[in-house]
Amino acid sequence: MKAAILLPVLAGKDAVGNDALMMARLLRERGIDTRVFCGTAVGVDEPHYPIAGLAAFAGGPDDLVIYHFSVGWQPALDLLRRVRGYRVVRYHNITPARFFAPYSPEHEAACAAGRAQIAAVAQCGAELYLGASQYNLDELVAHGAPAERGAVLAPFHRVEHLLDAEADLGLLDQLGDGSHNVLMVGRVAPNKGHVALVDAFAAFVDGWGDPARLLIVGKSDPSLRGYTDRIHARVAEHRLGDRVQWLESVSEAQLKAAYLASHAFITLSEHEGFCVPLIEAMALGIPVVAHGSSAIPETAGDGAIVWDETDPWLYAASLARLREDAHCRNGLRDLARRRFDAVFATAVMRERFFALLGGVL
Amino acid sequence: MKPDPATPDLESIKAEIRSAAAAARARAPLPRVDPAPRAQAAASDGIERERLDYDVSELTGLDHGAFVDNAYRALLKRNPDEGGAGLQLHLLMTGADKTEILGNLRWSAEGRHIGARVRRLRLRYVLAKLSRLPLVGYPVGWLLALLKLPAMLRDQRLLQAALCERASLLAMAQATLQRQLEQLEVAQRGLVAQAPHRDEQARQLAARVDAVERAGAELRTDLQAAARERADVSAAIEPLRHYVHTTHHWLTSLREGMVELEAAATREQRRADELVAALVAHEAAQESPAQAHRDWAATLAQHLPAGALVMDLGSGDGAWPAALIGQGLAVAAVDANAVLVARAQARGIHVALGDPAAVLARCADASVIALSLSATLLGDAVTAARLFDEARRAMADGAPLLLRVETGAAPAALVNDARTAAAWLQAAGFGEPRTLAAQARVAVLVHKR
Repeated sequence: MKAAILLPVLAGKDAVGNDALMMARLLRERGIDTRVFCGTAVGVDEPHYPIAGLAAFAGGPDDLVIYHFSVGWQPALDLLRRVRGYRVVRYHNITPARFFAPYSPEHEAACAAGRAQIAAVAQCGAELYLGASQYNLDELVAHGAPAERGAVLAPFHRVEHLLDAEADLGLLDQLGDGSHNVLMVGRVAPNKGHVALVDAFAAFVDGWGDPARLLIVGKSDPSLRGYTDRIHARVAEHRLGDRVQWLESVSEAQLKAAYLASHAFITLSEHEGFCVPLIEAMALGIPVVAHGSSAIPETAGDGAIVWDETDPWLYAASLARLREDAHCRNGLRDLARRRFDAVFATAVMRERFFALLGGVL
Repeated sequence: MKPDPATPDLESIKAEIRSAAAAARARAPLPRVDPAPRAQAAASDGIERERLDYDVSELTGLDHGAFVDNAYRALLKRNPDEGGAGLQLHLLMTGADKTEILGNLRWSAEGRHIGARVRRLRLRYVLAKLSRLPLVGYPVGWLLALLKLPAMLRDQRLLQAALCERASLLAMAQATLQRQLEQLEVAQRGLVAQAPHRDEQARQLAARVDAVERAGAELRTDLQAAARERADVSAAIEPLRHYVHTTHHWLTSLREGMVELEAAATREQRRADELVAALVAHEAAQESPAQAHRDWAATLAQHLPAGALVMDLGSGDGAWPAALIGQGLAVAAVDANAVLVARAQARGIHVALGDPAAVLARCADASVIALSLSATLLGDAVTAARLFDEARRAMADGAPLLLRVETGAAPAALVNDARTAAAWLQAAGFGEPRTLAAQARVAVLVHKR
């Protein structure tokens, strides 16, 4: 048996890339000859192969192909129809195009094209449809995937690696100046709710006072400048000035420092297929306040304060409660850590992965 | 179940947060405070940047460098630069009045921009400046001196009193120092007296230090050895890990090979069963065994009560068990050939699929009251001997055993004629054999002795 992991873009630092590379590693540990096939690769040292060679490598009846579906990619769909082995569709979700409409026609078109392919992928006849969350799986089933062939497996991640990593001491010192640090991690994209986040932080400063700092960690996209400008304008409108600190393209050590120096993690994202930063915060013991959109309530479980509404004062009051109530803060930390250990620890997910593929391995 | 007190009740907390949010929204916003880093910077340089109102007496109370520093910080809101501080000190050393220095700073371009208010400074600064003018300055200076004369006389008297008091304090301090010196001399003498004892303590301490250093050296040696061992273990682990991975791959390959071999063996067994079944069917087509079976079954039934259970091993396609059932006997039939068993099922005769020898081995001692064997089960001499031995153990005393020799069914078998069969049975300890011939087929009937 041979196994092929297929994805359009292989990037070493994003959630889909981490998931794909970890699956490849686990299959190799089981003695299965496994290769990663991709359209393009960015910042990855591990070997990868062009999609043209997949059918020759793992197109036989005894082979396994796992397709990571996160953007529209017609070559993958064509290939899934050609290979004769066990096919797994791994769905990470695709952001709805409406979020990008005011800022970037290119992003809007790409998302629309990706979402237009959901039905075709859902009905491609794969032997297993593997959602990164129940939310993702439900979407596939709604588009025609057979429910009895569906299962949920959270994306493999590098959280344990982050737990062991050393923090950037310089950044730790800089952030440990007595301010109450509130952290948001995620790329700067219109579905991530940064504007609402700034509103919530302004309410926190107005209602519960200084010193406070909003730390926004995430890479901004020059083609989404309109969205970035809108966030900056909202910061100025609230007179938050240098209370908002941006960290772009952080190293692992800087990310660790940002988590360690923060008193709470907050996200008002409006669309997530899973939300890896949420479990990073949970594992590192940072209390979480989140907007319960898309897959977030499922990921957070009982380990976070989750609101269905977007009223900024609710989030501000939540941050204040976490600051002032040690019992609440510590209890939430314990619940989050227990949830991580029970559901998202790599050892747990590894067992589930092999159990789901038990019939074919 | 009672809730865990250590676990927060999220629903009630959210309800409280909702109330707090509503209350905060309704009240006025709190004032914004500068972020901590800037507040710390302000505190560290000690300059009161917000304060712009002073009295001249607050600024003239210090002398020399301290006076200049304080004047810069109060009037220019910064620490003095090197050149500026030097100039002001030079003015002071050449007899300038402090108010002139203050005025110079206050009404410099930088000072005017800051705009600090210093009460009672303006007139003094003007007079100080006037006193420096040629010609006019001299009488102005005299005038100022005359005006200040009463105050100067008062200051002189105060100075005299202060100096007297100072002299008295100095005398007291000198006496105190003298006493302390005497005490120190006493202490010194005591120390000199204790010197030998101190030397002994120093030697003991040095010995302890040496011991600690030796222990430290040993500890360092141990640590180095432990580090080397750790490196050795790390070096050994790597090939071990490789070996484990290699073994794992090898086992995986072996398991896959075994699965393929088992599948091939199953296919071969199936093919062999089909060949045997085809042979049986061919012989039956050539010469029907039905009459022979009826005759043998009738003979066997004469030795058994009605409805007795016959254990039939090697039942074939069910023709022989059918003949036994036809004589009113019950049959427990077993055969290892899946194809023949399927045919027996098709004709309505239940034949269990299994190894006949294994079935016989599971029977209790002397529990079988009648046994029927096919000669095809005998195989080689060792197999035949074991089977007959098991048969004797399992059969009740006097129980009949009928051995069927179906011609051609097993041409390579050990027993394929009546005489050989009778000889083997007698050799196995059974009673006198009786040959039952029917057409070309033969059976041998014996009883357990």
